[in-house]
Amino acid sequence: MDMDDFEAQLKRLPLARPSEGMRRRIFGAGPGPLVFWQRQKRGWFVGIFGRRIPVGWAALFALFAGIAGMFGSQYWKTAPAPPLQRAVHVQIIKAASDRNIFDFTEPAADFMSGDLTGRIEPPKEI
Amino acid sequence: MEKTYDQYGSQLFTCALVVTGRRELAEDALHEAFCRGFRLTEIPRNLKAYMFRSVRNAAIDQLRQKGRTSSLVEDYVFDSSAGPRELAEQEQFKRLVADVLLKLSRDERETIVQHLYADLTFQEIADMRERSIGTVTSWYRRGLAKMKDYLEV
Repeated sequence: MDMDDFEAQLKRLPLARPSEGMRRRIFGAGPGPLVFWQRQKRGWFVGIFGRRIPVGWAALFALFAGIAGMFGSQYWKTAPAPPLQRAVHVQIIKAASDRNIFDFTEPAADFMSGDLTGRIEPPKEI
Repeated sequence: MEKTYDQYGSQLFTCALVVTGRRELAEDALHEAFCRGFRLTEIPRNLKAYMFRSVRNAAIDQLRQKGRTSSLVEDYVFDSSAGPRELAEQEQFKRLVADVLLKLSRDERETIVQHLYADLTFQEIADMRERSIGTVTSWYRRGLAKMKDYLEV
């Protein structure tokens, strides 16, 4: 901008400034927690991938990744399983002594005295 | 937006002050303009020009809502918190210039402040005021000539 001496003289005069509280009135005391979080996340993501992605696409991607992971964990069983250690709860339904057969499914026959010899066959998956 | 405020806050405020003539109305206009800026879905190509236009529109709105005032303080365009040395050197000139600015028409006064202090080009001012660049230039030249006459420069 070409200025003559008079314009230059005018331009040197300091301009009025808004009051000190004006900045706070417009921008608040500082970034809120959400804004701060978004800035941090954006910086981190952009730092690694070099671009931003819309939040909607990111949420959709996360949803599909979750579903894929669920199915994958259910059907992908090529690795050898570790030996299982399980507690098995055994409920005796019928027991035979020398003279009687006790049926524990009936409410009245809920106890018996003496030793009982039994054999447990665990299911194949155990 | 904060960067814009840091860079042009004083100039935007002065431009609002020239329209409203009152500090509190100018601050309201500045606040309103930035609030409008926050609501933008995309950043304008010329953000600086946009903000000056927005501040001017907000200042005019303030004036319509709250009425024109006749209590223009003499140092309203300039900073009154200059140091002692500056006060001694510039106080008298500043006072004279502020007085003379008040004697110009509003168009001349606004154009001088927008071009000289806000560093807007004549084209940007013409776009903002929706006038031809020739009209804006003549406002500026005529206003400046009047100031020189008043100040006997």
